[in-house]
Amino acid sequence: MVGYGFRGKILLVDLTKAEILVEKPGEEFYRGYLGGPGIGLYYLLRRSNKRVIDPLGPENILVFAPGLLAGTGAPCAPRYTVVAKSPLTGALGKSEAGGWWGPELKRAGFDAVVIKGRAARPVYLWIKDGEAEIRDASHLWGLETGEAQEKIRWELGDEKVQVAQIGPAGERLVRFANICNNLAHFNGRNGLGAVMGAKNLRAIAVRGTRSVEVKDREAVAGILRWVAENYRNHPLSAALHEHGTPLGITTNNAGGCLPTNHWETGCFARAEDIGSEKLIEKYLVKRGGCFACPIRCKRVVEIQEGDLRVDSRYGGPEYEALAALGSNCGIGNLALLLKANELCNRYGLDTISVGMTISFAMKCYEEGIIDQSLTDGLELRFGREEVLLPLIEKIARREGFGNLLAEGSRAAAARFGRQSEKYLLEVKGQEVPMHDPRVKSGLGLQFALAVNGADHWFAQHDPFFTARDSFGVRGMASIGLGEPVGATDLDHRKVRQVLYTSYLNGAYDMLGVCVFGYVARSVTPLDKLLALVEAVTGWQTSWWELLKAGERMLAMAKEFNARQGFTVADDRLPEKFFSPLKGGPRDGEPGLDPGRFAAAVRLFYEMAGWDPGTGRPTAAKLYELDLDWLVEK
Amino acid sequence: MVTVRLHAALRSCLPHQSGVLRVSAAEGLTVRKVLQDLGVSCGAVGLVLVNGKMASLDRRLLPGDCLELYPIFGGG
Repeated sequence: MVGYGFRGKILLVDLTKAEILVEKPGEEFYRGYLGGPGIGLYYLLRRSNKRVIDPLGPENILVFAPGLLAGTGAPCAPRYTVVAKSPLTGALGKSEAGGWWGPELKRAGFDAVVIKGRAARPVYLWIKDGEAEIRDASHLWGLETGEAQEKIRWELGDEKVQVAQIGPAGERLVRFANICNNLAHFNGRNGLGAVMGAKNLRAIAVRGTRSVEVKDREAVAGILRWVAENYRNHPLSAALHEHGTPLGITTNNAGGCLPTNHWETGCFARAEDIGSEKLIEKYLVKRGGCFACPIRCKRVVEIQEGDLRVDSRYGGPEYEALAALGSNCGIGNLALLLKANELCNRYGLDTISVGMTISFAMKCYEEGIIDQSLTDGLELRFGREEVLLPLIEKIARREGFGNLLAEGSRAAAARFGRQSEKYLLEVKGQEVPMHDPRVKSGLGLQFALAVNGADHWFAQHDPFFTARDSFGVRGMASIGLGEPVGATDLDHRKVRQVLYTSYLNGAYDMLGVCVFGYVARSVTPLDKLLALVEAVTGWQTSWWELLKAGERMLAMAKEFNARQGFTVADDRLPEKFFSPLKGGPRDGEPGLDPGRFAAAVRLFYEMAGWDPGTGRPTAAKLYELDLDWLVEK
Repeated sequence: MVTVRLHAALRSCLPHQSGVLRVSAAEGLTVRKVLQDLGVSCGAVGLVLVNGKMASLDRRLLPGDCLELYPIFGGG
């Protein structure tokens, strides 16, 4: 044993050579890079060797890395990160998923799997208790995710095998194809499923039966017990359990900020029909969860009869899916949305980009930019329920108009022409998630600055920091965020709040903890998380060290993006967010001020130690973060 | 009287599930006071509407007002 909480082994797979090696970094490596995106970026940067990479070429480096606490029994810490260059954005691809796969990999004896090359034919990787092999996947190619998982478990003779895999969309290199595990947990964003598809890698199946050594098992179990006993008494974790993220549909609608008809308005007349209460009343069969998480915020839905049968194996929708495919497309038929969500999960598609790419096409259709001669005869108007499922099928199969949409909305705009790009809502080519920066300015900074394109968990969200009794202000005073900041303020205090919480969220990802288990969004406070890290690893550590690790990971990401040609000019927002809100109680309120927003982005760079000219972390910052191996000499 | 309507997850703060109650519009009554009396954490509230318009926690309430409270939400 080399330490506690990590296994000390990284699996290196070269698919071109069909070669598998094991690297054994020392404890210092784990203390600096922790896990998840820290380890992912380390290998991506080391192995891509300063080159500009083709995201769908064999040279792309694809890393699967559980967080440091994953698999240790720490509560709400199931997550693993997938890192590679994104085929959707051309920038860093980085996406987290919960479920069971990350903990299983740790139990199987590895802290990460680093994959390069391209297999000559479809393969999958089989990892069991310290051993790994590349197996034929020809018989899996083309199958939906549910069928493929069943076949893999059957042929390996073990129902407990955890399968991270792509679906047919990833095989066909749809640029927003995702990776799923256990059919209902997703590395959803950045099109990382297409990277697997390009490598002819259908799945990574894992089985581990060896517990991860931790320094103080009793202390870890005690904190897990504390979460189990307290989550129902905390309003945020109790709401996550009871309603899940679909809670956001009716609450955002009431505030006039539920994206509707490609963000034309923030009010959707049928919001109640697709909200969490209707979902619970009509279709919820179970509240699902992840490894060692008592909160269980996931929805499991089922429809057994009629034309829209929905299989509960594929889980259920998050807020993002209901808004992106629903209100954003003007569709208020909940059963149809559950089916659309399930289809995306069968085929391996990111529901946010699917919904936003379809709504972009609808907007272009309504504006007369495109017509039925391009859309395979489909009348793409907002609210037309009959087009939703056919469009998802077409995208997944790359058929006709779907082949065009499968390249993402920015590529679609280039094909549509006729100034259609003015209706795009993306950053760095990734379609924006379902949160309006005009009601929370820090979220706007997140969208613009996120290293992996528009992302809603680059940092914490503004409403949790607006008053003395806000959960963020109460829970993060110890890391310098004890003063309230207005939701739409855009001064230096807001920039600092986004900066510090981007380090915090970076550390969360590196530890593998879920934002829905920890402050500001949930029950577990920072001191308990610190105690967990110490109990798992045996290190005497601090929030200073953990936040520095988060900052280190972001600096590495920024350096990667600079090497791929990204600059501060790419850290921008769509024009929409500088125009007034429409509908609801905020009707007519102004959007973000462009001058103040640009100044805030620049201030973020300066606070972070990033050069606004080159987009890179300064040499001084790299030295400070112990990243001298990244300094250009 | 002031009509108070709690939505979605906030409803579980009341003993009954309707989410609607009427409170006496005492002199100086504010949204914050209503929340304190109900035992609802201010941090759990994301949106306050009084008569359909956005309002702060310190907003004074008058007889006949309709107060609507929605849970805080972020991320998803």
